[in-house]
Amino acid sequence: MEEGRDANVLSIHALTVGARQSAGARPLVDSLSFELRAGEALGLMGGSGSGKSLTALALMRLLPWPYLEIQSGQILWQDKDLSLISDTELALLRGRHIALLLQDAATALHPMRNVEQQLFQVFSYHASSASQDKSREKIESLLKAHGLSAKILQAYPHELSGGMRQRVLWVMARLLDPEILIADEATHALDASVQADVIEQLRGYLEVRSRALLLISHDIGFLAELCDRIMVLCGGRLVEEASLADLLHRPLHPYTQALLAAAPLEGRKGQRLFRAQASLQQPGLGCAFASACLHADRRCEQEAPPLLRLADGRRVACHRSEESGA
Amino acid sequence: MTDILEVRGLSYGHSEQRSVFQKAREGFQVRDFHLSLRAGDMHALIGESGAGKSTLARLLAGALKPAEGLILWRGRPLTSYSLRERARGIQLVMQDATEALHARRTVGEQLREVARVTRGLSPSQVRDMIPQRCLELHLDPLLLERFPHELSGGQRQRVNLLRALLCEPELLICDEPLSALDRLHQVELLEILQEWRQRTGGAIVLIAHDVNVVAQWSDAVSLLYQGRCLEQGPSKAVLQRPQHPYTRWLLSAQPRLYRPAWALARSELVSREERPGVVVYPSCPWVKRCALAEPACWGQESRLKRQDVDSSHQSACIRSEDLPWHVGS
Repeated sequence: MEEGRDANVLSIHALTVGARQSAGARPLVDSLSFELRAGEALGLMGGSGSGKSLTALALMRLLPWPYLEIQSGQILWQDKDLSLISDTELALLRGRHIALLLQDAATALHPMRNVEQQLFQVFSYHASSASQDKSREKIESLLKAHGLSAKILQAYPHELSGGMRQRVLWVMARLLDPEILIADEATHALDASVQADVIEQLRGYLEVRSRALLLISHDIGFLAELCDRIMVLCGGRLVEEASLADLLHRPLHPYTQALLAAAPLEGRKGQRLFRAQASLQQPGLGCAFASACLHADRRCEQEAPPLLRLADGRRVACHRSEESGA
Repeated sequence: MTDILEVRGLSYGHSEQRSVFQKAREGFQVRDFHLSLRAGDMHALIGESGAGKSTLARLLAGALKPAEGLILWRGRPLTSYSLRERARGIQLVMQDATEALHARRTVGEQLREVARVTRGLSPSQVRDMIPQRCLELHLDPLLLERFPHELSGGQRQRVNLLRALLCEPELLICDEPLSALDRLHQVELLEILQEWRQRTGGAIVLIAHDVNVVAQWSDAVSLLYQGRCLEQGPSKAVLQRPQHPYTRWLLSAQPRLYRPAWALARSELVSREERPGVVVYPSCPWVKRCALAEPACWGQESRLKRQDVDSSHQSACIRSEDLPWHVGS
């Protein structure tokens, strides 16, 4: 029984997402591989357009049809490849075993059903054996844990504030106790105080060892609260993966350095460690950060740096780190 | 230097208001707000959602009529200026960049019209100038031929900012310009604003819910809660020694990496459950959640008062002198 802390609950191999009918174009998520382990919170960090949200959507096979598709790769969950199983099988899995919290709480909720209907629907959809009373109890306890009163059950989404809507989504995602929770910028619209509540809730969620969290954010401050390991995406490619401490103290990729410097750490204001640029050029063959990188040379623009695994287990994709022999 | 903008006792709303969902509550979205702003100043308005920041922005821009109080623009009431004079003096950049742009006209068309109407420039002057100004904001002039929905969120945000800057205002009010941006774009935009203010000597009122991002960049801050200003003063003083329990709590609630060294546990600052009762103006609106509240807080008048003789740092906490972290203690 190897159900310990290091068992993988989700393994992604060379996941590639791109537009349909766009042969030769650069994929939007480019051969991304990673493992999500039981009991861990994994962070996925990157600026806008880095492919974070597409990764989340691809894992749940919710890419906007018919524009985008998973072009290759495997998403392994309990020996099943989620990119191959049937839609019916997948529908039963979503929400029950893997739940996704979308970025935009306003459009994620049905505008013409009240919160109660939408929450109860989760149980009925999954043919849950829980009785009406049990379901209600579960809903009410989760609402309370997220700082909402049971009164909001009667409310429609437009009557709720942004923060309340977001919290309703949190409740909805947790109703069936999924083992994997994927949260896409799920605290972005929230006030700092509400965000602190959510973080506390997530810590509670992770106390059950078999569970895992995939947190997607552009903000190191939020990720640092929960994550043990952080992956940095840029232009659809994984450019760095490291433990939180390594990443904070010794970021290797210039893109990671720029992201960290832009955050208002330790009472100083954010700094711009990248080239602000007006041009609309699509990234070429080389590193996706080359055009904004302060250290880029010719090679960076023409040749994609390989993702190297370093001695201490971290991964980085930068020509410069190769040279400096990190 | 004289003040370009002076706000005295500004209020907006009605004495009582009922919404569909909420109980009847005091219906003022902004109450008794004071501010004085000099040319070149950057003032940040910070507060949680529902604090009245956006309402205040609209009031300052003259888009809403105050219920009480006075806004003086260069010594004269704001209402005494014509619409065009006001547009040249004060520009508001709205929170929602998508809604602020016309969906069915190209970005270039919209920008050219603004420059023509408010600055009275000829079409050829406008055509030469706009691509130039685009580059200042790191926008590709090719974007001018596109429609708003073809732009990214960050680009739309900058187009909106450019629209306001084309009017060459003396005061720029930016309503949550950063909330939709990632950290990289936030820094980029703040640098653009900083550069504009240094180059033109214009003043900026910046609205944000995230204390961390803006406070370091601005000269002064106002902390708002439920329409009331609870603390106001130079950014440095407020960040280092916040006097009001609300400000202390707001700064303590930040994610770990951004939290100041003196941050307190939340339980020391807020009570677990909101206390029942109705807060009657002018007592402190924070009293229902404040862990340090005393019976006196419910009845006593709470107004901004100076914490230090030689600083403009003001707090509205009636107990501020008794608090362990008081400036004078």
